[in-house]
Amino acid sequence: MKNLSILTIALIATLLLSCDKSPEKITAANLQKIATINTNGLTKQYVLENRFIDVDLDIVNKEINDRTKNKYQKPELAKAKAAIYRFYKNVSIKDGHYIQTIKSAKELNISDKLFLLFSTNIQKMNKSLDSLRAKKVEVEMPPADEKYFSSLLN
Amino acid sequence: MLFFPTLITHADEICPPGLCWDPNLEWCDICDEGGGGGQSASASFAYPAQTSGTLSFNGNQVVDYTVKNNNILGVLLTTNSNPNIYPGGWSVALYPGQSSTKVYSILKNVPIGWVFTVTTGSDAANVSMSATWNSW
Repeated sequence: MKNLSILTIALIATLLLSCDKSPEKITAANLQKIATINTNGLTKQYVLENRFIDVDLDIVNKEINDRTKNKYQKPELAKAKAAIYRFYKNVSIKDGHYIQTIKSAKELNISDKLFLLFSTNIQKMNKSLDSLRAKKVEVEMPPADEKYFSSLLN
Repeated sequence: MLFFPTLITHADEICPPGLCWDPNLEWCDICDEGGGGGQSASASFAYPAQTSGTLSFNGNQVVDYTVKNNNILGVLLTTNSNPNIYPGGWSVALYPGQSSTKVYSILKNVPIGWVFTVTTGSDAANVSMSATWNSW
């Protein structure tokens, strides 16, 4: 009976240890392993195919903060970047404000939730720009050029 | 692509020791040995978890300082530096994923203890700050 108890404890301990999924430490060897994974071009694919885009913001947030993975290993962020690409292709800068020419999510084939998020951000940015300028603060607004858009796709 | 040794001194560092933040790949990569050439430092800032982000290092007289918006929303950032080069700070509005670089220079004895402090007027921010300079 005593031997059986010891065996049972040993078995449970073995099972628990085998279930330990603690994240791998960042080492040179692990980085080399990660570097061989190629999921390049996912954002470009979404943009070119004009597929409907919705993203899980919690997953995007986790992916943004995950320093153990490179940008090619973040599929939800890739989708978000494609949505950013579509949206900001229709945003310009005029008289120190962002001007959004698109009025609905349908025009961009993205979810209403994403469209509202981007639109609200544009409105808030414009308000913040106004309040900073009221305090005589000069704000630089680098334009969204082709280099910027290709950085989203790559 | 070259990666230079980082001289990260703050708790809000991006990469573990021995690894450097590569803003192009957006991850921590193996640092280049450097060999007395270019140097770099990096740090990150997430608001509202942090009220400000600080990047400090001993650098040369001329430093290229870059801020990158890692968030999926636009952000307004203000960077104040010590030594103070741009009175009132450098304010910039960045699109999602966009970065902007400013040259900071001062004529003083090297090494110069640069401190860059970034704050935001936006509701949320996830920003990486990096600086590069040549060895003296």
